[in-house]
Amino acid sequence: MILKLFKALEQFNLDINLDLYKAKIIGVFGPSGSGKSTLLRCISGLEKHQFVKIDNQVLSDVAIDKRGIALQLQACPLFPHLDVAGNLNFIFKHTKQQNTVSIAEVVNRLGLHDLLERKIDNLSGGEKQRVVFARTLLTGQKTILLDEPFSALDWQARYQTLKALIDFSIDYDIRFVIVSHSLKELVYCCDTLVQLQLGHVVNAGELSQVVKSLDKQTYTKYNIIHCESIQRVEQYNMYRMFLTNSEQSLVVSKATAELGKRLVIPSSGITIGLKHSGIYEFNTLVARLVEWEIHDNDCYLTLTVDGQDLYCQLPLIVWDKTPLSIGDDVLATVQLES
Amino acid sequence: MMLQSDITALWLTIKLALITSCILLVFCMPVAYKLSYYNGRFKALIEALIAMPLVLPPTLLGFYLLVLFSPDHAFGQFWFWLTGSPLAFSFQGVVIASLFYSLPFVMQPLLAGFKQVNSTYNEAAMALGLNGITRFFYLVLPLLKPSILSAFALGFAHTLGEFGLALMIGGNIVGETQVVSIALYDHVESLDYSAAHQLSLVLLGLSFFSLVMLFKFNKQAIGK
Repeated sequence: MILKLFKALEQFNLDINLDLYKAKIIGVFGPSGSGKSTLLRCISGLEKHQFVKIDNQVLSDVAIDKRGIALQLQACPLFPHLDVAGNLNFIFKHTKQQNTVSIAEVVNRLGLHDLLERKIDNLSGGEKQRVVFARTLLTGQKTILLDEPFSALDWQARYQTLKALIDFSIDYDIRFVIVSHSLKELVYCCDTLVQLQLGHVVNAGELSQVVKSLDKQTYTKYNIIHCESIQRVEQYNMYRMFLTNSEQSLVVSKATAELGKRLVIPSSGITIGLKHSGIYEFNTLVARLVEWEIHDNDCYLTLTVDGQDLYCQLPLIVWDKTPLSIGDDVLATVQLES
Repeated sequence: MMLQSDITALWLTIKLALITSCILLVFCMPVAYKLSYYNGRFKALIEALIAMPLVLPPTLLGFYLLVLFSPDHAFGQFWFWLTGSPLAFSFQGVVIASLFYSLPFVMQPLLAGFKQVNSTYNEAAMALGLNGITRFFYLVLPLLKPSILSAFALGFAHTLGEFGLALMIGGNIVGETQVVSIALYDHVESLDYSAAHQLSLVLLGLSFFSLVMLFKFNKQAIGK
């Protein structure tokens, strides 16, 4: 996907030149008013006269309905004269493309069975967003742009929907571009991130690379921990995920485990201890302190867990009471779901 | 029992209201659709022109339409050449006058409906990749149904109560241009209060029914 956009806006110009060849799920983030939604409108063709090239096809002068792109607008409405099933059928019936995704498949994967007969007015905000996403998938387009698609979903439902999104991307070869305020959401599902500021790309590239280079004072730093195997803990209906090249593991819920062998841990969700208290400590990893630096009232630690970096953000008052120096072994207790 | 002339006036009024509302719907639909998208510098001017009959005295409108219909005017001459009869003091003349008189009442609900449907649902469907024809026939029109019915009911109800303009353009010819409001005026003038009461009651019922329908459709309109 190559994008060359230039759109004069009231406060700044959207000036974007991107080359994302292999990206399948692209996350776009940045402060409000940085041009995220406008970027999607330009790609879809709602904003005219922008240079867009996808898979060697220049789309600049191609009509919206012939671009092979579906854009789900922010707060995208369902059609109020139809019920849930009617909304899904309507798009499925009227999209010209060869629909490889069936209604049954979408309903199944997004768990919409119970909603099909419901009227639009009787749906909650989260339910509406799931139906809107299902309807977007049914356009059968190979490039789908989503503007704040899951903002009304609680995290449990969001994990499930993100998992479905990843699966659809793999199984049906769909490229997604997602605009979101939640960096955490993007880190969970994207392989590529694009950071916008005042209409310009300030950071773009592979997920872990971009996350690593983010300004830690503006954005919560997310750890992406790779795991190599997952085991079910039958007794508690949970899952144990073993870190790559390590004997250490973390126990997670079904929803998190289903997202794949990648754990996303916010740096603020890790607490540090010095030695074992003797009682069972849940989700605690043995790590080594590699680096630390202080900014304002926080201390940012870089730990290493069997070869993987683990960033940790501690309030300064806690750090001052923790007698640690570089090279010390510490116990990092991880808070996974919040 | 109602007088035969009153029954004739009543039927003429309903016919006038029906014809006016139908013609206005056909004319206003494409105009409202275009206007809902239009954001050019003449927008205020066009909207003001359409709304003019709301504030003008019917007599002013009637006066200029009489001038337009007169055999001295090109339009009057053209009509006479076309049909062989003059427009002034004819049913056709009253219909044309009613079209001007009720135009804003049909246009406004349609314009509001198109604006609402276009800015939310039509744009969402366009972004999803649906083509213009599909969007118009399968999305915009069904969503606009309450607005269309509202526009029809409002145009119908407003034409029912037409008096000054009908009197100026059509005069008071029984069976040709005498509408209910003029017949009522005649009864009051001749102190025939019994006939006036009967006619008023029918007109009240008819107007009330139209307004109930109007509010029913309004309630169904999107976002209300």
